[in-house]
Amino acid sequence: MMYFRPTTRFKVLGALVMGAMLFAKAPAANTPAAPAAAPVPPSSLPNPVKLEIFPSDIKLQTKRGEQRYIVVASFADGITRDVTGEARVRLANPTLAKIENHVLLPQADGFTELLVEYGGRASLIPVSVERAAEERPISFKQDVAPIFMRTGCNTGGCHGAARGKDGFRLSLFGFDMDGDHQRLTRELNGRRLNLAAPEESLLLEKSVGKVSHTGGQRFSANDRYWNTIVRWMEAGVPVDPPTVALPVSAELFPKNAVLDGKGAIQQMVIKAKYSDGTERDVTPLALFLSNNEASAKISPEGVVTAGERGEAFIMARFHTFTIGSPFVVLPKALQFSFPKVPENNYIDTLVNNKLKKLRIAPSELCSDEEFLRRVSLDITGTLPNIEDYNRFMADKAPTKREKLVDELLGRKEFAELWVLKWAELLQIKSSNQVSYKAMLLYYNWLQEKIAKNVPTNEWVQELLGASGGTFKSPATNYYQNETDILKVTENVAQVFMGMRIQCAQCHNHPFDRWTMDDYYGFAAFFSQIGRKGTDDPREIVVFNSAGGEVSHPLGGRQMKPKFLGGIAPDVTGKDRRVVMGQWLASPENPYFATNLSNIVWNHFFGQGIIHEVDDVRISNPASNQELLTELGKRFTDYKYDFKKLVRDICTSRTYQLATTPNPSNELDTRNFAKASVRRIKAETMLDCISQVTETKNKFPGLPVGARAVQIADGSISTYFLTTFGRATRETVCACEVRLEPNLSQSLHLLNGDATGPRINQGNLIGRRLAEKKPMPEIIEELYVRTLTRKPTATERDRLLQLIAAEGNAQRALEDTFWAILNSREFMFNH
Amino acid sequence: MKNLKKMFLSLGLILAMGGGLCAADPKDKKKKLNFDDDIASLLREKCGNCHNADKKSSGLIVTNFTKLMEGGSGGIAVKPGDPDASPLYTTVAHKAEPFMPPKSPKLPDEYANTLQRWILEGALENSGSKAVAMKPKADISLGKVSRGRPEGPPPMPEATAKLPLDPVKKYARANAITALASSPWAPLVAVAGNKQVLLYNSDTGELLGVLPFPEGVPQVLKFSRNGSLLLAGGGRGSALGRVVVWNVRTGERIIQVGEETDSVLAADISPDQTLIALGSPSKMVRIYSTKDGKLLSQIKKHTDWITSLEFSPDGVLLATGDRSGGLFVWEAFTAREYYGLRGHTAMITDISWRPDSNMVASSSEDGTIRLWEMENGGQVKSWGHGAPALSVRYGMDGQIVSAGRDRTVKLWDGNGALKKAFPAMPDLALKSVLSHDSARALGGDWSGVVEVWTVADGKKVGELSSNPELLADRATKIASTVKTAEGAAVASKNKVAGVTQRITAIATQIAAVKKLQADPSPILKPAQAAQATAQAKVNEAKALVAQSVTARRSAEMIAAELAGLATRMAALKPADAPGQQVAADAQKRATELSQKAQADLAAAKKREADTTPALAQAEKNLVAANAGITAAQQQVQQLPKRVTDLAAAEKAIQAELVTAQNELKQIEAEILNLKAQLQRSQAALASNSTSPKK
Repeated sequence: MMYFRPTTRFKVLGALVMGAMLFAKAPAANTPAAPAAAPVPPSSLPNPVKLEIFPSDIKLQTKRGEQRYIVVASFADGITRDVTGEARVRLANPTLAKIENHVLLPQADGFTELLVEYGGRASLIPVSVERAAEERPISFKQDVAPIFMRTGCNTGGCHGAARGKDGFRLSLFGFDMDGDHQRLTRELNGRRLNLAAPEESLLLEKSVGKVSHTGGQRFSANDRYWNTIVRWMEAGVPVDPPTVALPVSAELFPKNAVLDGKGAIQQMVIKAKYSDGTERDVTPLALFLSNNEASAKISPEGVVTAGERGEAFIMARFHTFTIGSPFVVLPKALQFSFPKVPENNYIDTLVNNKLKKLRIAPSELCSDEEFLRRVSLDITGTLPNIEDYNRFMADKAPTKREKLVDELLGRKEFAELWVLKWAELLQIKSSNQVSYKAMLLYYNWLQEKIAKNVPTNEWVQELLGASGGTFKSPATNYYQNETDILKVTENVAQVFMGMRIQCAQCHNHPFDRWTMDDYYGFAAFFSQIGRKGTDDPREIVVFNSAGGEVSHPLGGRQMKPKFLGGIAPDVTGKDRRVVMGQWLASPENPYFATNLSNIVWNHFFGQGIIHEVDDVRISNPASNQELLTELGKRFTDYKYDFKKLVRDICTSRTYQLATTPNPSNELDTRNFAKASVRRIKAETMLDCISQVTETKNKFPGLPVGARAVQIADGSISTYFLTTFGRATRETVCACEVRLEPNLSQSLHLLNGDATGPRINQGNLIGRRLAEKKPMPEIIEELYVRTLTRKPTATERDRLLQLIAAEGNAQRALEDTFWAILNSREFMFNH
Repeated sequence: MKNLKKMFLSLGLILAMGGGLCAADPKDKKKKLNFDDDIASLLREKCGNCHNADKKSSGLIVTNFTKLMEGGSGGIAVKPGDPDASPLYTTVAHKAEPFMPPKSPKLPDEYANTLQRWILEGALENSGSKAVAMKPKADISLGKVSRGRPEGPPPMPEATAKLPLDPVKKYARANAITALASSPWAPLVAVAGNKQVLLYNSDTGELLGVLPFPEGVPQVLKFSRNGSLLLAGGGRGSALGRVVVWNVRTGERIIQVGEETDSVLAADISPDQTLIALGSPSKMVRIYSTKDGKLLSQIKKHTDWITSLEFSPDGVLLATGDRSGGLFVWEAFTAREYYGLRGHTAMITDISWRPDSNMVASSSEDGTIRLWEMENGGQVKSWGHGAPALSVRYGMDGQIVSAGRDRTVKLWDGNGALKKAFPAMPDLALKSVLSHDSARALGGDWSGVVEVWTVADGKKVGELSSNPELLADRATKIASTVKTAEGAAVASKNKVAGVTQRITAIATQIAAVKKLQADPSPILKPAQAAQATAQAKVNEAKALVAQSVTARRSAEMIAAELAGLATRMAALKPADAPGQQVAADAQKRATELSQKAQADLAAAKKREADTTPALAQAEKNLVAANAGITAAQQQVQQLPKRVTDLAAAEKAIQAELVTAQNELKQIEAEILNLKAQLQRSQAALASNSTSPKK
């Protein structure tokens, strides 16, 4: 070898501009004749600050090896450009491989480097060629099966449907490749394949549109896919040996991009690693998708074309993997400078980093009044009273907002609000399976944990590993609520990890990494839950039955318990649920802390960083992954004390932004550049109305005057609560709490007993009039009570006029009160 | 005849051009395009999957001229003379939405150009002068259903017909055996290959003819009930389905019916040869007349692809089965429902009538074979093949043979009792049939192998190929096989000679033994003589012993006497000298005598001692001689058994001889057969090379 070791080279290269020195080492014979002058970017573009080649190393294995590369230049303003076509590219030893259309093809065994120059920068990556003369045997699983996903044959609308299409079925996205082989080759013998004349096979004639095909033409005769299938048939449609190497991971390049204006393009490359250690360029076999076609469209070949300003997540699906890269599309040559804004803590830094990338400026800080109302509602679920208001407004300390947050966090309403939240997620409700007493004990158990601020991981572990009677050890009710093994599995994943893995019950998850193996491996933790009755028919004992297994529906393999996305632990002689709980609520589980952080975040912003919070999947990426990761890390470092996390959030400037947009953030909804206007959830809403009208409620099982958030039983509701979307706790879905406005809500507030009768009942107006309070003061009190602000001069003057015109002051004031309660400003948190 | 040939040629032309690109042929430029010749196949292939008589997408049917001219729900499709006002043309040419075919790139311009030209030229139906291709060349209807063996020699391809012996093409690999049929009256089987049907002699395994099937893959093969016709149904998936009938004796293609838009999967010809029924993925059973090729009736009852159908041998009924297990029996002539046979839960893979028409058997992917009686349409028997059953056929003697996914062909008696499971095939056993005499069973598998077994012992006796070598290669192969066989013949002859020699040897042996049996003296006499000698020797020895004893005894007495005398002499003490002298002399004399007597005694004793062991030896010899006699007698007694043993051995060798001789005969016959085949191949080759290829 006449070259340095690649690592040395990289060091040498550093910031080096590629020039004669580097090439001087290569023998003259290997240097292409008269290299053209290093290309420079068009005059309008500055030189890049970074030049990268993807993938970061290339391995060509066997005669059939191939690898396309892309060259991406990054500029000082964050813009990236695909300069593959413009860059000068060559191999240090051009005898080892040839380059055709940016694809490397093997020629001879050896090691060399791919050298790239562009705009005064240079870069290189190592290239190795192995077994260049060796043929790679055709494999159904490696070569043929991926074609069906790539060319859209096995989607749910086509042959991937449960009953197939036009008499032919493939497994959805290829989750059952053995079955696909069987169906293709031996289901209808002599129809789909013609081994004597492969190119006359119905499979191919339909695919290339030679004969009528409902699905139209999927590929063309003599193209890559056609040739692969013909080659497979010529080999006699062999069944792969059980040891056939399957993909174990896949990587998509580039990992992110910022495209400059409509029409900018970027080629994607996807490389997969196989279980035998080999690597392949699977760009031609992967299926590319974009979650925002308007901003970034992707062609089947993996070329992204920029469209309107916005963000898009570009995904590739290959084998069981879905992987994605976030793309940002900016208007061409946008002029933008990020305003100088203070950053209260890490949250602001991370949010602003993202906003800078998107060229979005955050809104202004909200007023003290807005903050007081917002943070009181969010932390305690109550409105500040007049004393709170006056005290806070009079406080001149610069840290008064932090002080307020700390004060609110110490109130018992904070705990109550979160007990309600968890009670929804844990589906605490009495039912045929769970007696009222058991439910109440379960609720009290949860309340105690939250009120005492027990670290979340501790009580979650206790909950998941719980054994004993549903009275004596109330956490066991978790397993009494739902007794179906698979449902329990799905619920645990959804609530504590934010994953909806239901899809993987019947087929590999089409939009995520979860396979049926993962699903049933996780379900195996819940296969040994024993349940037996006691003397009291209302109580059940949940115990570790130490027996019972889960088997895979395809082939009936018995599944070993395996953590979702983790290892398969040793469970011999242990209670599987305890083992699972200890892993789930621990830093070992990468999803636990981030998921809980996201739930908390969602509560304060009305929008998860991943949204919905229980729909964590690769194809639904976080709008700010760095932020989510950091929150999860902090939460773990806080020993799962979520109060501290709430404090970080509420004291961040991001939380304290005004709802008023500026031109740059007007259209943005996902990056927390402004505060969002949020409906108040049913229970809090009722409590607030009761609070401001000074009326009392009576709920079953609770004393008069209890607050709606205190209702333990999910099966108890009132007309008001149901109308305003109280969770039924039938499922664990985050969508159980309905926050969408509807007509019944408006009608109920206008005409129902929630407003008018309560105003009369509380008789606040009557009392104030009796106290002979001056009219403007009463109006001011109504405003502060409900909206946490004083009326504006205009409001006050007009109201005084109206009251005077009405004559009956009480009626006029009550009408005013009613009008405020029906105003959007009252109904929303803003 | 000339006319027929011309028709065949024009037919071949259409088929060869497949894609319907006739307009591209410059020779045809002058001729006006017409629907039947130029447009029908194009439309069927590219548009027929949706715009067919069953699916009628947008109410438009393009597979039939009349229907096409009627247009669809969107109005007319063709305006003769004005292509631009004809959606048929504008949509295909992507001049108007919706672009056709949907979800596919635009068809090559030739297609649109052909349509344009056809419409421009007036959208003619046919050339007018041309006979309808579908019409049969001859009326083949029999007028009546003949049951039992037809008169005359069983129909076999005739040598004079010179059926082609070269396959349409030799492929790198054989396709799965999609169809297999056995003539009811002759040692003739038909095997489906790609674009061809191969006729084999089921006894000799000789390829008797190749029937080209350019339509595609034959999915079903059926001999007519009298064995004189062979029907094939098949085609090209999603493009064309057709049924073709050949005359077995001449190899002539005499009927062609069906214009399905997908491959025909099931078909049969009625025993009186007036009807042809066919089924395809269209879910329709269509019945055509053989007289004029007209569609007589359609059965719409099935809810899934038609996978199997068969006319009853009396021609009264038609049984049809579909892909989801639906099984029906219809009146053949009216297409009215006769029975719905409920029971199968998965695809019907085959239907076969018992030769007496009273029972129909069905096989299914659900693993069962079921028998249904026709009195009430009841199921009388259901048993498992052992795996999903892919084929079931009745033999002419009422036995049943089935094939399945367990790779095995099985033989059952009429009640479903297993009689034999033939050796497993290399892959899924797809088809099975019994030969006309039920002496042989044949199975065809997924890997393209057809194996032939003898029913009597279940042994594999041959293999037929759906992908035979080219004739020339086959001739070379046969020649080399002949050589090998000749070598084997020599070896076999040597073996026969060897066995014959052994038989001669054993016969000689038997004669010798039999002679001894008649006169055993050669065995007994020597023994007796030996005994006599031994006895004499004993006697002699005994005498010697007695003599020596007597001698010893007398010597003893004398010695004692003389010893006494000597003592007495010594006792004589005379006083006087002479007396003393005398006494002394006497004493001396006495002593001398005594001494001599003692010496004699010693000698006598020694002699006695010497003779005794000789006696013992002689006596021992005598015992041995006596034993010898016993042995000889025994030997004589055993002679009959020895004869029997030898006779048995002789018989065995005789049998060996017969086997060897048979083997030789077989080899010789095989050589003759091979030589004949070789001769035929060579003749065919010679004629191929002299007459130019069509």
